[in-house]
Amino acid sequence: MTFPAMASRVTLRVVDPGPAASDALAAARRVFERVEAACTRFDPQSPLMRANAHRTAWHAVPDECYLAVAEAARAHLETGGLFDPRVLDTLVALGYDRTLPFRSGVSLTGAGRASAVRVPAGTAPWRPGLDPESRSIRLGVDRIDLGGIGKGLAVRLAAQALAGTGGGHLIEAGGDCHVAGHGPGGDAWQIGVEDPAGDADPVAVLRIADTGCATSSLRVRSWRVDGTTVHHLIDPRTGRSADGDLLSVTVLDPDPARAEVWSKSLLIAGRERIAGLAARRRLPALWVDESRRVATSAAMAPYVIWTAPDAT
Amino acid sequence: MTDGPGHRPRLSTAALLAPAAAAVLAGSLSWAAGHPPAAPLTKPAGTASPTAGQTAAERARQTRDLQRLSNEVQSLRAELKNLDDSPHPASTRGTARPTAKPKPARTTPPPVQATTGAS
Repeated sequence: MTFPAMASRVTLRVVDPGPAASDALAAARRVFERVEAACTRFDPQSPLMRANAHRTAWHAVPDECYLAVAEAARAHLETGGLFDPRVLDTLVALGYDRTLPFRSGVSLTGAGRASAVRVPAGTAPWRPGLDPESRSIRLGVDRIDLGGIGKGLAVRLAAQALAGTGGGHLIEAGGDCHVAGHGPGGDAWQIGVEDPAGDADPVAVLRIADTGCATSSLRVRSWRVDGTTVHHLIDPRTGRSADGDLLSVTVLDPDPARAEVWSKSLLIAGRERIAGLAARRRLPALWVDESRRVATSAAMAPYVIWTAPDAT
Repeated sequence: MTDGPGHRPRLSTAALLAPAAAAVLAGSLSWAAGHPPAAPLTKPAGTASPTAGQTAAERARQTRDLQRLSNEVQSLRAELKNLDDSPHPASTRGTARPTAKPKPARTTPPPVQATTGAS
């Protein structure tokens, strides 16, 4: 089953499906629809954007929005602020205020767009109000974007919907995946890591089972603003597109939302810090630097079954 | 300085035992590879026959376990090979080992069921 959601193409697949698989696939698809409706920033009437519009007030929101904000707050603490959803105003200032046709190439102009940035972090940690009883949130000073973590959360919830409905399953949504059980050949799943430099062949192939997998990459969501190339992964320390000499970072974690958080945070951390940070956190991580060289953490090495000969 | 009288026999014993131990280890590994640890050699008396679903689930679990162990073995072999290929100080080696020819890297990627990349 393939369908568009959350500005990505989503694929759901159950191998050796049992009798409940068909209903589970439909339920998993509805998960993506619900998370998108609750967390989109492109609809001013979405629960997220209503909370963004009145940030000092409490808002009762759907479960999916509440969970995404709670997950974002947890991730903000766990990553020491590298993950920070308070980048919405920067993205909007850079012209990413609507779905843009990135694959066709986007070039925007506007006086001062490239320099109109906000630096939310470094001033104070983000601590949104969360009331689990009433599923209410209060966002505080800055507007937030839940794009990436919303997708990771959708993959997590979809994986729960598909669990045990067949011999194995695959969920693929943009850079985020989850695999369980066995693949079509009765073996583990083999997942290609896309070449962020644009080559059709992957830069590496992973053999994985029962895990989430997320990649943050500059490959697609990059555009030009007043002649300067920018992308959607904003470094909260500078308020600008991350410039850490990394093209993409892939992370494995049983929880797809956590894999999404750390792939983004390690990319923002940059080439100088990524090896140490991944080692300290024992994260299975694979990264591609600006020279298109592939490197991995020790925890990732057992999963890598192939690396492009010209990328090592 | 010369070795004491008991030194040479001890070295000879070690020289004999090392290959024998390696052979036993290699044989054990070979046997273990062909015998999944979860597979009993005989069925215990009085054990109820598993249902088809249980058997399939058990087989899937064993397949995954085997794959994981196989990955670990591959990783350890690669690590061992790196150690073997790394240069050793001359003082610890009687003669220089011939330099192993690097294996040509596989240029085409193995088949994949999905990709992770541009988000």
